[in-house]
Amino acid sequence: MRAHDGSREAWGTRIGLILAMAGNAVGLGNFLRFPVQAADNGGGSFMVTYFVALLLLGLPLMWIEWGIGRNGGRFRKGHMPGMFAAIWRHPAAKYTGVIGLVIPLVVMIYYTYIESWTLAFTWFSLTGDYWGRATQPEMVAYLRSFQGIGDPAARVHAPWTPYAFFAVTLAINIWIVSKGISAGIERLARIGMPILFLFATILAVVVCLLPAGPDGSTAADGLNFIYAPDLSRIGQPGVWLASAGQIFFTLSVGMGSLQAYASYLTTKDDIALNGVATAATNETAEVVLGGSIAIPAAVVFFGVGGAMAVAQSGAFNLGFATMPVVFQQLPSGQLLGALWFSLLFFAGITSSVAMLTPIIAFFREEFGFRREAVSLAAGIVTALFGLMHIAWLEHGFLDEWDYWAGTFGLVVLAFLETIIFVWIFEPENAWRSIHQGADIRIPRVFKFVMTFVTPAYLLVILLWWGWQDALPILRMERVAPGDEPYVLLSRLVIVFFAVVFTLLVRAAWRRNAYDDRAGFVEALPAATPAKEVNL
Amino acid sequence: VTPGAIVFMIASWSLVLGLTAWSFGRILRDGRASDGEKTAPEEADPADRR
Repeated sequence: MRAHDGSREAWGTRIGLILAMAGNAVGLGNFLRFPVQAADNGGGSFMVTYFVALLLLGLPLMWIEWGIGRNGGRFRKGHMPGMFAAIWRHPAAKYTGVIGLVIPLVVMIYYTYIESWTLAFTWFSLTGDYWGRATQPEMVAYLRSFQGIGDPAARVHAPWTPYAFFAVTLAINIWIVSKGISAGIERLARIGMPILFLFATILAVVVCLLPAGPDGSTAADGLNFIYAPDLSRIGQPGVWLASAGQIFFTLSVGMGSLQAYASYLTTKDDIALNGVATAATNETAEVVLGGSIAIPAAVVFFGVGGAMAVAQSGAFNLGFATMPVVFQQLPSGQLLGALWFSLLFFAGITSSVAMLTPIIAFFREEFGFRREAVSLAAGIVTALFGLMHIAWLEHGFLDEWDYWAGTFGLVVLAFLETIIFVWIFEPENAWRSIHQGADIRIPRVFKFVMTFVTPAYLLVILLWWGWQDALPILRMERVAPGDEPYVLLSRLVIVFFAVVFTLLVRAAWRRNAYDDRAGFVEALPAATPAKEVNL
Repeated sequence: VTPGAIVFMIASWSLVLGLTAWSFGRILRDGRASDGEKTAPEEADPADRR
């Protein structure tokens, strides 16, 4: 790994880079969302469509995002406005990239809050705080008490509890990010990812060795529940879209963070093989480990019917209400509970620090601020808006952000970047760019896939979700009576971020006297003569 | 466990574990190789089109 010049950071090692990239991808969705989606969508049918989506959507988008990021890094641009402008010499390029600043900031804010639940439940598991609440309704009530929602008289937590865990989680995030790429994020990945895999493996083995439950169900029945092939459903568009959505979320594409990480590479560094390794590591965490813990454990203790009800009640109920009930019935349950929630915490924190990277890169590169100062400022902004989520969780404030930024926005950004990198940059240039410094040659069929299939796939998802969800959500058809002002405020904050970043991008371009039509000046390696830069 | 579920599970696990083992195997092997083995330095830089 090499830095572009003396002023830009670089990854310390290739394995560290891959672990950081995989850490960015591996998140709560691997262990909570995947098994629920698989069980809900026909098991084997879902797996077939899931792997098709991995090939047609996941891997191509990984290469596209690594390619965009590394190309941006050549011009010292670790943020989407700069990366788009480096490819597309048009005044609109930088403003199109604003979405790549808004999404990671918005998702980072509410994701850190959810991440703080896992830290809190790690503590509650170690101290046995929820011990004795042996049914799922009791655990749901406990979770709601911690979140500060529902009947105040029924709460068992002090009102400041969620705020305290949010503050600690945020402080850890900011501290790691402020340490920089190699000393902060890469070190976290090198420590956190092996721990995550170790904890997940221990839990998967424990679950597989569980004796039969009250109705005779075993972990094998749980695996059967996920993988049983209901091939009659393979013709349903919903199954294809569910699997494409899962691939999309699990690889953390459309976020701006993969690109930011890749911007710290040079054209002599491989991205083709690294992209495959990152996706494969994430898939191992998801398919092998994620599918072997929560659902099989739920089936052992609640039977297939109970597990199905749990799965349909949502991923968070599975993680925060069902699993604690399971742990209470196991020997060393407190320790296993702590392992489960710290596993989720590590999965979360390796993702959340990645989301801050493009924001920090933008302020450092365009305004010359120090990393520590930007990290602290980002922490203050996250704290301020995070408080809104804690205070108004029950009014749908978080759900609104999760849909517009964390769901729909990701597909929009992925579609835009595919068009810009493949179509505007031109397919041949995109293909060559991905292969610069490559350790493997990607099968040429993927050039066709990236050019035609991936954008078409994204467009179908975008239109389908737009029709099915975006319009009803936009019209507030599913908002509970009385929550409309909170939902509206939630949207206004996102719009506020978009306006602020648009103005900041405009200011940055003026401050640095960038010419949209002329492009950026390439950053030269400090010790490399200029004549050797153009390969 | 039904035979179909076993087939799908084994196939899924083999695919992701195989891909992981292959990619990391290549990385470890290439880690010992020199930069001279990289595939693309001789290719044109896309930026040159500008």
